[in-house]
Amino acid sequence: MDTALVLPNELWEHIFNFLPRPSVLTMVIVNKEFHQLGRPRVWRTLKLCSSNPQNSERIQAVFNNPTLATFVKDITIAEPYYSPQSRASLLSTALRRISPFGNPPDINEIALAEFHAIKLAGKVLSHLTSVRNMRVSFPKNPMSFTGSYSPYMTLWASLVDHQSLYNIRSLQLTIDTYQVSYLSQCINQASPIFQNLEEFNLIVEFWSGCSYWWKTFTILLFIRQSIRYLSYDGKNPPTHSHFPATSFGYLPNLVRFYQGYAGKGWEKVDPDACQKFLMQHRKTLTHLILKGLEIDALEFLWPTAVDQNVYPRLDTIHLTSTAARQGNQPNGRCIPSFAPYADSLTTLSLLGPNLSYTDVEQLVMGLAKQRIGSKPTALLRRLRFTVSILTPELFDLLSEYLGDLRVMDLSFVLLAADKARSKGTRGYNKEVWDLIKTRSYPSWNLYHVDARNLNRLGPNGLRMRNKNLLRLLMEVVPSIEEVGEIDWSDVDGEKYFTDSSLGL
Amino acid sequence: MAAPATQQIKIRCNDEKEFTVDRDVLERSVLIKNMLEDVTEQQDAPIPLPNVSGPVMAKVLEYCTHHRGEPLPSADTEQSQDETRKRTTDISEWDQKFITVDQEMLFEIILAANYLDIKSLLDVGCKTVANMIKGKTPEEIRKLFNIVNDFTPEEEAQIKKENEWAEDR
Repeated sequence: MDTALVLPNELWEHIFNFLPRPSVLTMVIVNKEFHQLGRPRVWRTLKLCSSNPQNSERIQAVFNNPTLATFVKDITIAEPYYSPQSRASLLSTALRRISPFGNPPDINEIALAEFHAIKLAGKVLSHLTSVRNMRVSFPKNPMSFTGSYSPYMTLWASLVDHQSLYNIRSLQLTIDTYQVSYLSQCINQASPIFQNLEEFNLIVEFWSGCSYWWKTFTILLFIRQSIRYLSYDGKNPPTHSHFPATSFGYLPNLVRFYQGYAGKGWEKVDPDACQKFLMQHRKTLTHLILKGLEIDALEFLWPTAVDQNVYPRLDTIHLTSTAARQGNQPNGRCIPSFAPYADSLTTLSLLGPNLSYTDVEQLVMGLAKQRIGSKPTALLRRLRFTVSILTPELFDLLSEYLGDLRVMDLSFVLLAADKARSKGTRGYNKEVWDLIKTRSYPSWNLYHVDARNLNRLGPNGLRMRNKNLLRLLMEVVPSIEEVGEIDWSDVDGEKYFTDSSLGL
Repeated sequence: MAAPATQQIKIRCNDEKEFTVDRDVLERSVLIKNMLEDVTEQQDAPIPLPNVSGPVMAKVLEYCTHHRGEPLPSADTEQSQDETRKRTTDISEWDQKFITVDQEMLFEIILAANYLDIKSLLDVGCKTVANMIKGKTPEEIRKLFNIVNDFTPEEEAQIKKENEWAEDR
């Protein structure tokens, strides 16, 4: 008898949940039973990218086949830049096919990030009454679309006009500052849609020379109930006096707060305004993501005077400083005591300047205190930080406290600076590596980035090797062009750059 | 009505094997927890568990004893962590050692965890199976689970073709 048949299908379904896509694709070839189980999963998400030459075949395969078409639940049309008309026509075919005039599958999620797709969305969306979640990202770099804003206008118009959109419960818009005034009109005209949203994620990308952005904040006050996720990003952030804390007021359902400035030219946020905003929303926040802050500003975010339960529901803290510190001077001031927040924390990630031994000691002792002090509920499972060198002492410190913490996913990022290299150290040594191996921490990830010769290997080279590491580097290093050679070798020639971590 | 933590509960497996276990250990199983809550009076008769055998129950109890006192996942955290829970196949060190058993026992543990409603143990079992599958070819998976390929060559070619369309990018 097949041993696999011991398990009922519902349990195999559960196992499939843990399988990465390539393995699911393999499983459907194993036998008929697995094929039946895995096939809907394979086709649940359909990604169409107009630069993919295989698209026409795929579109035909899916939408000419009624069975496959009914499997499709999420559609993503991704193409960040303007695509040639010929390719766009393929996408338009796809969009028409999913309308009731073709096969009307029960689609509940649609994500659009392609110029022509957005243009078409206005026509197609009115037929897609099943859509509950919609994500729209506007193509970046609006300067190349000067004079061609009609696609956006079509979309805004469809948002206002179509009854079907009243079914949408979750809307995510990635817009640039030029779109703010359109959004403002749209909200005014279709306020029921926006007020009915259970979740509204607004991601604003700031562009220089634009003064419309502040309008966002005023219009959002009308729909403050539905805002659960607020995100700012952009190359030219507003200056101190514009920080939203002062403009925003209270958002009763805010759970995720993301503040990030990518690239160079970020400015220091006004810590007082930021603190004020966070304090206002501390009871509801579950995710706090702050990116690109000057690391010294962080201490202002953790007021010591407030009671123990500052953020009672906080699940994830992710702090990234793009200010790559010159040298490796310790800076204990930037490590706040996390003990008051540790009750509900599952993920703590501090990326940016390398932590010193004292920093790490302060950090893990603060966390461990929660556990030892009659609170066996510490939920912390993921911990990440950067150090310049992993010494046996540091490792002992971690083992002593973290063994107790039940941390399952511990990642270090070793940003070896020029100095460390010239001293002959490699960011870690064999002794430490052996220790890690003998104690068999299966989920400990060690990323060692050698910052030497930063210009040699381009981002493409990196991407080929390890996507997660690339993502991490992009967060830590101000600009990816500055990341060059990566030392992929390890002590025993074993692979230890795993892909399992960093799923932020 | 909160029972003292030291209360001992008797259970009987389908092979007549009986265990006497601390109540808080047994309550890792949502099934038994609910059963015990329904029973208001102290009962001496063992709880019958017709779907679990003695050796498997011994393994399950080993798991429950190690994880006793840990908070049971509430519906609320369940939801927020659902995404992460599904994506990661990390298994903690102790669980990893615990689940290093032969395949038959592994499947038995999964079935028992499902029946007894012990979510964390079910996940550990399913993640282990997923880890066994990862990176293997169809032929290797068939061999692993002793499965017969019931496709005709034409059907197999058709599925492979369909898979090509399904590849991302």
